[in-house]
Amino acid sequence: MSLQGLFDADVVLSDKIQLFIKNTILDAYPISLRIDSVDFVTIIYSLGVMCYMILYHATVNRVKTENRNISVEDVITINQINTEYMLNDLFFWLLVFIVTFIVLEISCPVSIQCVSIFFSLSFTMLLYTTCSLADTQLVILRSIALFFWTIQAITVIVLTNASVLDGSCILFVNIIFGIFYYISVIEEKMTIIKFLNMRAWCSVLVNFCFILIYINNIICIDVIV
Amino acid sequence: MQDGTFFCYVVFIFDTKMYIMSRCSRIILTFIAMAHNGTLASKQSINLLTYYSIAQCMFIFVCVSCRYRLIVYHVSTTHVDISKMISVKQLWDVFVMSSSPTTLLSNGPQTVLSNATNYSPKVNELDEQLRKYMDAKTPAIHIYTVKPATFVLKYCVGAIHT
Repeated sequence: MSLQGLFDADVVLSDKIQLFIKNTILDAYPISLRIDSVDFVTIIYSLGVMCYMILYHATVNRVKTENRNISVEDVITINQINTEYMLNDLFFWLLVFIVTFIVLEISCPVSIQCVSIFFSLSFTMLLYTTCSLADTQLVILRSIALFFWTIQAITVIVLTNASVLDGSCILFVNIIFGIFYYISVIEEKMTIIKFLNMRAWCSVLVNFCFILIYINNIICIDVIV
Repeated sequence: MQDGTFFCYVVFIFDTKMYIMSRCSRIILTFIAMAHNGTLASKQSINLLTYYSIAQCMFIFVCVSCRYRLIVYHVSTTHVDISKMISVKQLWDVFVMSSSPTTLLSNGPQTVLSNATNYSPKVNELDEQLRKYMDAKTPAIHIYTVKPATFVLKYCVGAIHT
């Protein structure tokens, strides 16, 4: 036996041994494949978008009608985001998480549920961090968060092996989130109405792309026996 | 002629893509401009959003109730039992013992490691596989690095039989 330079060694076993090793791994990790549907999550998401718009209307009307010294054109503060508008903000990010999860589930030829959940959670958290840091002076941290979010957004398109229509819709969803980030960065004085409108429009546009993906992937299961 | 047709096809595809991209970028820029001048915050726009959100919800409900489903493949691992697999260390130990001149592999069907060191019973089977390869005088393993031609593990069968 002579060995030279074992860095990054790629060990190739003979066919029978390779098959033997593969079988032992399959014995240890039994994989089960099942055909499932994501209709329940889709309905939840769809209802969520509708509820979000109702919440949006209620919030805007509340600010407009309440006899306080607050108007919708006032600049929103961090304190207000963390108290009065926290439900609005959290609801929006929850919708982002759910839509990312459903799009991943639909676009992947074969999906692992926990991986999809983890990936969509990480996607949402990165986007949230990127947008939250937009009005701060932490330029390096902001750039790092944006860089990692971009990497993840591209990874979604590449790894899902989505079809042309699905892939285009995913691309548009990412562009919408990119515009969302852009507006968060360039708006030096984010007013209450802009804060709410931006989220409402973003959720509806993403929902429109989602509907296109949904139409492209639904199957009629009405079988006549 | 075929080359010319292919060239025209490529130019057509390229032009179409450029046209779509320019239209999309124009739509995006218009949208950003509308966001700036407050058009998106008008009452009509907000009403439009609300009606749309209700319409999409109804659409999804109608689709689901008409037996339109989003079917996906789900893969999951259940009852993982790592004792059933041979670890890389076990595999390597068996290979090293098999290729060693002191081993008894060539003297009969005795197992090399499985009885001695609490290895998985699967090791017996691997012993058998390696023994077959040794008898056939074909290499059972190759190790490649970045340059495959340079680093090849040579299996010295002759040394074992001496």
